[in-house]
Amino acid sequence: MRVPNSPVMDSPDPAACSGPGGPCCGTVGKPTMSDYIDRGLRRARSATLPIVGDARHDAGRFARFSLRVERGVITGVAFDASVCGTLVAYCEVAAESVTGLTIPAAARRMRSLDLTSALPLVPAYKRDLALLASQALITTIVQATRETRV
Amino acid sequence: MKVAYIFATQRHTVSYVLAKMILPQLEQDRHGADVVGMFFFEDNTYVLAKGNPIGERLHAVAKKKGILLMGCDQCCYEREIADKLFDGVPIGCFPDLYGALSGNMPDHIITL
Repeated sequence: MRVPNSPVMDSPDPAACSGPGGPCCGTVGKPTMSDYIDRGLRRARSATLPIVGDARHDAGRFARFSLRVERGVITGVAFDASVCGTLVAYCEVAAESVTGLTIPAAARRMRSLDLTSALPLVPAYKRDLALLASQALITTIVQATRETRV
Repeated sequence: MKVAYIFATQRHTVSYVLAKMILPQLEQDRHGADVVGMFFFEDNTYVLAKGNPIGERLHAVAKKKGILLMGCDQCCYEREIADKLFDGVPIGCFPDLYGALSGNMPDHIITL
Protein backbone atom coordinates (compact mmCIF):
# COMPACT_ATOMS: atom_id res chain seq x y z
CA MET A 1 0.00 0.00 0.00
CA ARG A 2 1.37 3.39 -0.94
CA VAL A 3 1.48 5.84 1.90
CA PRO A 4 1.70 9.38 0.51
CA ASN A 5 4.40 11.59 1.98
CA SER A 6 5.80 8.81 4.11
CA PRO A 7 9.51 8.98 4.84
CA VAL A 8 10.03 5.76 2.93
CA MET A 9 8.27 6.90 -0.22
CA ASP A 10 10.03 10.26 -0.12
CA SER A 11 13.47 8.69 0.09
CA PRO A 12 15.72 10.86 -2.06
CA ASP A 13 17.43 7.93 -3.71
CA PRO A 14 15.25 4.81 -3.79
CA ALA A 15 17.74 3.06 -6.07
CA ALA A 16 20.30 3.24 -3.32
CA CYS A 17 18.47 0.53 -1.44
CA SER A 18 17.67 -1.80 -4.32
CA GLY A 19 17.35 -5.46 -3.49
CA PRO A 20 17.83 -8.57 -5.61
CA GLY A 21 14.69 -7.69 -7.56
CA GLY A 22 15.81 -4.19 -8.41
CA PRO A 23 14.93 -0.78 -6.95
CA CYS A 24 12.22 -1.01 -4.38
CA CYS A 25 10.13 1.05 -1.98
CA GLY A 26 13.10 1.64 0.25
CA THR A 27 12.35 -1.02 2.83
CA VAL A 28 14.63 -3.75 1.53
CA GLY A 29 17.14 -4.78 4.10
CA LYS A 30 18.01 -7.51 6.47
CA PRO A 31 14.90 -9.50 7.43
CA THR A 32 13.57 -8.61 10.85
CA MET A 33 12.57 -11.00 13.58
CA SER A 34 8.94 -10.42 12.61
CA ASP A 35 9.74 -11.35 9.00
CA TYR A 36 11.11 -14.69 10.15
CA ILE A 37 8.12 -15.28 12.42
CA ASP A 38 5.67 -14.49 9.61
CA ARG A 39 7.47 -16.69 7.09
CA GLY A 40 7.90 -19.40 9.71
CA LEU A 41 4.22 -19.45 10.61
CA ARG A 42 3.37 -19.79 6.91
CA ARG A 43 5.89 -22.60 6.48
CA ALA A 44 4.56 -24.32 9.61
CA ARG A 45 1.13 -24.48 8.00
CA SER A 46 2.49 -26.19 4.89
CA ALA A 47 2.18 -29.93 4.32
CA THR A 48 4.64 -32.39 5.80
CA LEU A 49 7.29 -33.44 3.28
CA PRO A 50 8.37 -37.06 2.57
CA ILE A 51 11.42 -37.31 4.85
CA VAL A 52 10.27 -36.73 8.41
CA GLY A 53 12.69 -36.31 11.28
CA ASP A 54 12.10 -37.07 14.93
CA ALA A 55 10.45 -34.40 17.00
CA ARG A 56 12.72 -32.76 19.54
CA HIS A 57 11.28 -31.57 22.82
CA ASP A 58 12.51 -29.13 25.43
CA ALA A 59 10.70 -27.37 28.27
CA GLY A 60 7.26 -28.11 26.88
CA ARG A 61 8.10 -27.01 23.36
CA PHE A 62 8.79 -29.16 20.33
CA ALA A 63 10.07 -28.89 16.78
CA ARG A 64 10.02 -31.39 13.94
CA PHE A 65 11.27 -30.88 10.41
CA SER A 66 10.55 -32.67 7.19
CA LEU A 67 12.45 -32.49 3.93
CA ARG A 68 11.97 -33.09 0.24
CA VAL A 69 15.17 -34.26 -1.43
CA GLU A 70 15.51 -34.48 -5.20
CA ARG A 71 18.70 -35.85 -6.77
CA GLY A 72 20.54 -35.29 -3.51
CA VAL A 73 19.47 -31.68 -3.15
CA ILE A 74 17.10 -30.40 -0.49
CA THR A 75 14.35 -28.75 -2.47
CA GLY A 76 11.84 -28.31 0.31
CA VAL A 77 11.85 -27.84 4.06
CA ALA A 78 8.81 -27.85 6.28
CA PHE A 79 8.48 -27.86 10.02
CA ASP A 80 5.96 -28.25 12.76
CA ALA A 81 6.74 -26.49 16.01
CA SER A 82 5.16 -25.12 19.13
CA VAL A 83 3.64 -21.76 18.41
CA CYS A 84 6.25 -19.66 20.13
CA GLY A 85 7.49 -16.72 18.10
CA THR A 86 11.11 -17.23 19.02
CA LEU A 87 11.14 -20.94 18.22
CA VAL A 88 9.28 -20.41 14.95
CA ALA A 89 11.80 -17.74 13.94
CA TYR A 90 14.76 -20.00 14.74
CA CYS A 91 13.18 -22.87 12.80
CA GLU A 92 12.59 -20.57 9.83
CA VAL A 93 16.20 -19.35 9.79
CA ALA A 94 17.38 -22.96 9.94
CA ALA A 95 14.99 -24.01 7.16
CA GLU A 96 16.09 -21.19 4.87
CA SER A 97 19.73 -21.96 5.57
CA VAL A 98 19.62 -25.47 4.11
CA THR A 99 17.15 -25.09 1.27
CA GLY A 100 18.89 -25.71 -2.05
CA LEU A 101 21.90 -27.45 -0.52
CA THR A 102 22.98 -31.03 -0.97
CA ILE A 103 22.58 -33.20 2.11
CA PRO A 104 26.31 -33.16 2.99
CA ALA A 105 26.43 -29.41 2.45
CA ALA A 106 23.35 -28.98 4.64
CA ALA A 107 25.00 -31.05 7.37
CA ARG A 108 28.10 -28.88 7.18
CA ARG A 109 25.98 -25.74 7.16
CA MET A 110 24.13 -26.79 10.30
CA ARG A 111 27.39 -27.57 12.07
CA SER A 112 28.62 -24.04 11.47
CA LEU A 113 25.32 -22.18 11.68
CA ASP A 114 24.92 -20.03 14.77
CA LEU A 115 21.22 -19.37 15.00
CA THR A 116 21.62 -17.11 18.01
CA SER A 117 23.82 -14.75 16.01
CA ALA A 118 21.28 -14.76 13.20
CA LEU A 119 18.62 -13.39 15.54
CA PRO A 120 20.46 -11.12 17.99
CA LEU A 121 17.25 -9.52 19.26
CA VAL A 122 16.29 -12.68 21.15
CA PRO A 123 16.89 -12.26 24.89
CA ALA A 124 19.48 -14.57 26.43
CA TYR A 125 16.95 -16.63 28.39
CA LYS A 126 15.21 -17.67 25.15
CA ARG A 127 18.29 -18.56 23.12
CA ASP A 128 18.15 -22.22 24.15
CA LEU A 129 15.34 -22.53 21.62
CA ALA A 130 18.00 -22.16 18.91
CA LEU A 131 19.45 -25.46 20.05
CA LEU A 132 16.05 -27.12 19.89
CA ALA A 133 15.53 -25.89 16.32
CA SER A 134 18.99 -26.85 15.11
CA GLN A 135 18.89 -30.29 16.74
CA ALA A 136 15.51 -31.00 15.19
CA LEU A 137 16.80 -30.10 11.73
CA ILE A 138 20.06 -32.02 12.16
CA THR A 139 18.19 -35.21 13.07
CA THR A 140 16.13 -34.77 9.93
CA ILE A 141 19.23 -34.30 7.79
CA VAL A 142 20.63 -37.50 9.32
CA GLN A 143 17.35 -39.22 8.49
CA ALA A 144 17.59 -37.91 4.93
CA THR A 145 21.12 -39.27 4.67
CA ARG A 146 19.82 -42.74 5.60
CA GLU A 147 16.79 -42.64 3.34
CA THR A 148 18.56 -41.37 0.26
CA ARG A 149 21.60 -43.65 0.58
CA VAL A 150 21.78 -46.00 -2.41
CA MET B 1 -8.32 -10.62 46.09
CA LYS B 2 -5.56 -11.20 43.55
CA VAL B 3 -5.80 -9.76 40.07
CA ALA B 4 -3.74 -9.71 36.89
CA TYR B 5 -4.07 -7.05 34.21
CA ILE B 6 -3.75 -7.59 30.50
CA PHE B 7 -3.15 -4.36 28.63
CA ALA B 8 -4.61 -5.18 25.25
CA THR B 9 -6.13 -1.97 23.95
CA GLN B 10 -4.22 1.08 22.80
CA ARG B 11 -6.25 4.09 23.66
CA HIS B 12 -5.16 5.70 26.94
CA THR B 13 -4.66 2.36 28.57
CA VAL B 14 -1.09 2.91 29.67
CA SER B 15 -0.79 6.70 29.78
CA TYR B 16 -4.05 7.16 31.67
CA VAL B 17 -5.46 4.01 33.27
CA LEU B 18 -2.10 2.61 34.28
CA ALA B 19 -0.09 5.78 34.85
CA LYS B 20 -2.76 7.90 36.50
CA MET B 21 -4.91 5.31 38.28
CA ILE B 22 -3.38 1.92 38.91
CA LEU B 23 0.24 2.93 39.32
CA PRO B 24 -0.26 5.77 41.83
CA GLN B 25 -2.59 3.54 43.81
CA LEU B 26 0.02 0.80 43.91
CA GLU B 27 2.68 3.29 44.93
CA GLN B 28 0.44 4.45 47.79
CA ASP B 29 -0.63 0.92 48.79
CA ARG B 30 -4.28 1.69 48.23
CA HIS B 31 -5.14 -0.13 45.03
CA GLY B 32 -7.57 -2.41 46.83
CA ALA B 33 -6.41 -5.67 45.29
CA ASP B 34 -3.17 -7.59 45.15
CA VAL B 35 -1.81 -7.27 41.64
CA VAL B 36 0.15 -10.40 40.81
CA GLY B 37 0.88 -9.74 37.15
CA MET B 38 0.62 -7.41 34.18
CA PHE B 39 0.91 -8.45 30.56
CA PHE B 40 1.33 -5.96 27.74
CA PHE B 41 0.34 -6.23 24.10
CA GLU B 42 1.22 -4.21 21.04
CA ASP B 43 2.32 -0.58 21.60
CA ASN B 44 1.67 -1.00 25.31
CA THR B 45 4.93 -2.95 25.41
CA TYR B 46 6.86 0.32 25.04
CA VAL B 47 6.17 0.97 28.72
CA LEU B 48 8.48 -1.93 29.50
CA ALA B 49 11.41 -0.46 27.57
CA LYS B 50 14.27 0.99 29.58
CA GLY B 51 14.03 4.76 29.83
CA ASN B 52 10.26 4.92 29.71
CA PRO B 53 9.29 7.20 32.63
CA ILE B 54 6.06 5.38 33.42
CA GLY B 55 7.91 2.11 33.06
CA GLU B 56 10.57 3.23 35.53
CA ARG B 57 7.92 3.74 38.19
CA LEU B 58 6.11 0.55 37.23
CA HIS B 59 9.30 -1.48 37.34
CA ALA B 60 10.16 -0.11 40.78
CA VAL B 61 6.76 -0.86 42.26
CA ALA B 62 6.67 -4.28 40.62
CA LYS B 63 10.02 -5.19 42.14
CA LYS B 64 8.87 -3.99 45.54
CA LYS B 65 5.58 -5.89 45.44
CA GLY B 66 6.64 -8.95 43.47
CA ILE B 67 4.39 -8.20 40.51
CA LEU B 68 5.12 -10.13 37.35
CA LEU B 69 5.60 -7.90 34.31
CA MET B 70 5.70 -9.52 30.89
CA GLY B 71 5.55 -8.27 27.32
CA CYS B 72 4.05 -10.10 24.37
CA ASP B 73 7.05 -11.60 22.62
CA GLN B 74 5.93 -11.06 19.04
CA CYS B 75 4.86 -7.50 19.85
CA CYS B 76 8.30 -6.76 21.30
CA TYR B 77 10.10 -8.38 18.37
CA GLU B 78 8.01 -6.39 15.91
CA ARG B 79 8.97 -3.17 17.68
CA GLU B 80 12.59 -4.31 18.10
CA ILE B 81 12.57 -3.70 21.85
CA ALA B 82 12.86 -7.31 23.06
CA ASP B 83 16.44 -6.71 24.16
CA LYS B 84 15.75 -3.27 25.58
CA LEU B 85 13.33 -4.06 28.39
CA PHE B 86 13.89 -3.39 32.08
CA ASP B 87 16.10 -5.95 33.77
CA GLY B 88 14.19 -9.04 34.75
CA VAL B 89 11.16 -8.26 32.59
CA PRO B 90 10.59 -11.22 30.28
CA ILE B 91 8.79 -11.54 27.00
CA GLY B 92 6.51 -14.43 26.26
CA CYS B 93 3.21 -15.68 24.95
CA PHE B 94 0.16 -17.04 26.73
CA PRO B 95 1.77 -20.32 27.85
CA ASP B 96 4.63 -18.32 29.34
CA LEU B 97 2.21 -15.99 31.10
CA TYR B 98 0.13 -18.80 32.57
CA GLY B 99 3.28 -20.65 33.55
CA ALA B 100 4.70 -17.60 35.28
CA LEU B 101 1.43 -16.97 37.12
CA SER B 102 0.89 -20.60 38.07
CA GLY B 103 2.67 -20.19 41.39
CA ASN B 104 0.57 -17.19 42.33
CA MET B 105 -2.68 -17.47 40.44
CA PRO B 106 -4.94 -14.43 40.30
CA ASP B 107 -8.60 -14.67 41.19
CA HIS B 108 -9.46 -12.40 38.29
CA ILE B 109 -7.77 -11.45 35.03
CA ILE B 110 -8.82 -8.00 33.89
CA THR B 111 -8.34 -6.95 30.28
CA LEU B 112 -7.85 -3.26 29.75
